[in-house]
Amino acid sequence: MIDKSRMEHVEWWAKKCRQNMKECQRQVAPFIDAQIEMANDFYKRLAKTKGGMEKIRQLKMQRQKRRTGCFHNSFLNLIVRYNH
Amino acid sequence: MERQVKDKNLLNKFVSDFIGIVEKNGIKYIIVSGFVAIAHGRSRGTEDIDLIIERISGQQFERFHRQILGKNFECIHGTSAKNLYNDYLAENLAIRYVKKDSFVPEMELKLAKDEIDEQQLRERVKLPLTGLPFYFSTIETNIAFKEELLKSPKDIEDARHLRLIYAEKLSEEKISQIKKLIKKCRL
Repeated sequence: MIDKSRMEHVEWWAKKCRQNMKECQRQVAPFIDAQIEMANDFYKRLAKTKGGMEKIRQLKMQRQKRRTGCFHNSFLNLIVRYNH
Repeated sequence: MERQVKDKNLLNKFVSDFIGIVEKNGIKYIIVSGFVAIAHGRSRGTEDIDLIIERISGQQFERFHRQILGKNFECIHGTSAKNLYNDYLAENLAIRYVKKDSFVPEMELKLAKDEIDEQQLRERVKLPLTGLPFYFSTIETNIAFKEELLKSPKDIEDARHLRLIYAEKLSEEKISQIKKLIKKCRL
């Protein structure tokens, strides 16, 4: 369930995008970059901790299951690589 | 010639690098779901880009896979193209590629699996408003999937965003038709 104020924000931003898509894309770009960089930095730090790779595996499993309803346990390659 | 994507952010560059190889192999593809909304300025994060490609043969996939590995990508499910094709793609399961030394973003690749995917590929479009040179499934299709099948708060917000962006251009009839097809094929 999305509350009213949240949807109003989505609509407000969509209207801004309609008015000037390029400017909105320009504003969003650093956010997208930062999100990816932060996620990768975090995963790399987590991978170095005790049990970190198992936690990453669980996180990815959980996410995939939520998206597709099933999970194939095949993150082992990634795990092996980051453990070396 | 390397494709040009203006004002690349990390996500656009990742997609551009991957799609470059898909196109080089003459594989018909569409980008669907979250990246479609993000490419239209939607302010949210994502960990993966969803890509549907036509049903290529194992041999075609092997060639593509070899080239994609050469572009600094790796498949998190394994390295053997034969296994990836037989155990995943042929079984209508997605496989995921990341850039070496990265955990995100992931390119989630799957073969067209039913009538609705075939229709999406047939009707694929470029969306000039995004400023990106890739093929996407139609806006109506993305809205229909998000409202009828996916339905998470994030998906409902994406659909609302796209509805507002394309307010005058959307065909409600088309959205309804796709929703019926989704009910028939997926629900």
